Amino acid sequence: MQSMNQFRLVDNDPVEAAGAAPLVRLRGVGKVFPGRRRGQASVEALCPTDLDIRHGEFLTIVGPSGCGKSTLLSMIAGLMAPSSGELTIGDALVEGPHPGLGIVFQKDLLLPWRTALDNVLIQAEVRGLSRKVHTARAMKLLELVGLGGFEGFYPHELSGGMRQRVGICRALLHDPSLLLMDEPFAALDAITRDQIAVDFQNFWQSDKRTVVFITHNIAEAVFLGDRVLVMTARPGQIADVIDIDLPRPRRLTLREAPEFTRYTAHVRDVFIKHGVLRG
Amino acid sequence: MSDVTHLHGKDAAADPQPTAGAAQQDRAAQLARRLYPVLAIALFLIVWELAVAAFSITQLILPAPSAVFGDIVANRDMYMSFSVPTLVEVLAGFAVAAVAGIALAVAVSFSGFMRRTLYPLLISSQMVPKIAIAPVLIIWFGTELEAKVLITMLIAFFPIMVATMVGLAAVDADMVRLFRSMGAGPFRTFTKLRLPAALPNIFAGLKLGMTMALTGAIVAEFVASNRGLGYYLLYANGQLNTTGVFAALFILTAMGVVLYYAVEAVERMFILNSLSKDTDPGQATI
Ligand SMILES: Nc1ncnc2c1ncn2[C@@H]1O[C@H](COP(=O)(O)OP(=O)(O)OP(=O)(O)O)[C@@H](O)[C@H]1O
Ligand SMILES: [Mg+2]
Repeated sequence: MQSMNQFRLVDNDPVEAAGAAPLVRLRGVGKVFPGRRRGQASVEALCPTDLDIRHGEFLTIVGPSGCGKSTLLSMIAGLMAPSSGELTIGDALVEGPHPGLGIVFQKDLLLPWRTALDNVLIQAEVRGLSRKVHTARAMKLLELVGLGGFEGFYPHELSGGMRQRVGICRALLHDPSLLLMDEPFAALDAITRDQIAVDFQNFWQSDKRTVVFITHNIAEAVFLGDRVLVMTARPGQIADVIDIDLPRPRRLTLREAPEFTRYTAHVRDVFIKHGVLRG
Repeated sequence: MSDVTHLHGKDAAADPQPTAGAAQQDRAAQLARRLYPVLAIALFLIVWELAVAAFSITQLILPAPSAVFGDIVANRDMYMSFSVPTLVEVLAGFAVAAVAGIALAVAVSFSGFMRRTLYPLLISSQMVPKIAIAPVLIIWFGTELEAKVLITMLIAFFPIMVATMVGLAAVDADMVRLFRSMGAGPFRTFTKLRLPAALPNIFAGLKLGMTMALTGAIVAEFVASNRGLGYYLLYANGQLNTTGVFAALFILTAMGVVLYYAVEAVERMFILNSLSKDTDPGQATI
């Protein structure tokens, strides 16, 4: 039985970062998809948006399908260019995938011909980093997410939850300062999903780095986030930003506590006000 | 403070080591799977043998398998001398087809220019019946080995190229995005993602190509040759030596089966157990 604190992988001191410039800055960042065929209207996936993502914060984004969450994330990831506005990470304008970035998608996207360990190490191989140096770190990460002993297993020999944990290790291998997660637990069953959320929160607490986490699930957004960004669709925009002032580590039982449900009710009210939900 | 290890009870409870008993059972099942095809062929030959005897079919119409095998054993040196040139043509033609097919597929999948220029040319060229142009190729290249390898190659090449192209193109778009987010350029994406992902398709193409290569070599020998099993087939047919014809067919069949499984053995070396993902092992490997 070891405390996670022994496994601190980075020394991002949150105190030092407090009050400093944000890690990610969006100024008027918007995205319009032009209509492909004649007569097809263009889609404004994201209205021009201002947003600061602070060093070391856990930012969750919640919103209905089609409100531009993935579009926003793809632009931060440098996988898609904004149609307007200015987007910076650190002091650098985002013009392509930033090297200090890790991404976890809804699909685990593991390579079926590679073992769990080799799937984590693909991050090093693709970036031209030494496999040797990173093998120890990959093993440590797998151990941390509860997959010690499974490093030689192929993806088809792992459960969905285990596969997604491997995907998280892959995203963390090169010690990114920003972790982007697009509905990472959405494909999992409810029980596994709760478990992996608790585990991930605990892991994050011992290894604080900036996380942007997208979800459809209001409770998950409140449970994990330092701040919750509430988004609404047509056109996609930020409807509200809520600071979640709940002590960590948060436990699953917290979800029934009145201070927790106050936050989820707040998010729900925002959705009702914008016509996303009908009460 | 949190302790993760106990939180993973559900996942970690799975035993990483398969039990010894299960492994033994697995091996027995595998042996049985190997045995079934042999038994099926044996049964086929027995039924054939009995049918020839029961209906007293003459050797001119349909020789019994025992007569065919007898002929092969009695004239083994002659059959060997006819088999070797055919085998050489098949192997050489297949090798050239594999290299050219895979290389062209890679070129076409890498470059939009190639896709717009070379690809339509290749497709159109495949619409010309290759058997029909074999005589022309003989005129151009003579009756030596080169012409026959060329005909074999032309017939075997297309399935290999198409299968490789399909495999290279069928990669999940999200997977490509993931690689891009890791900073991978087209080359790394190719070597680490597209090529390994396409391997099952490539090998399917190679297996198809191998069977086509055998047909190609025989066609080439039909058109012009004084060597090889294709030549012997025509010769024996002209002599009304049906037993000889069947002997040549048996040898060709055996050659084809061995070559096919040789490709499959190489495939298994490359693809290992990852292929077993979602496929019934009994179907994947016999
Ligand atoms: N490549 C594209 N071309 C055209 N339109 C697009 C494209 N990608 C997204 N869109 C449109 O932009 C809008 C926002 O899409 P986005 O994928 O960002 O939504 P989302 O919030 O992630 O939804 P979900 O929760 O279902 O994943 C949608 O209306 C979608 O139709
Ligand atoms: Mg999305």
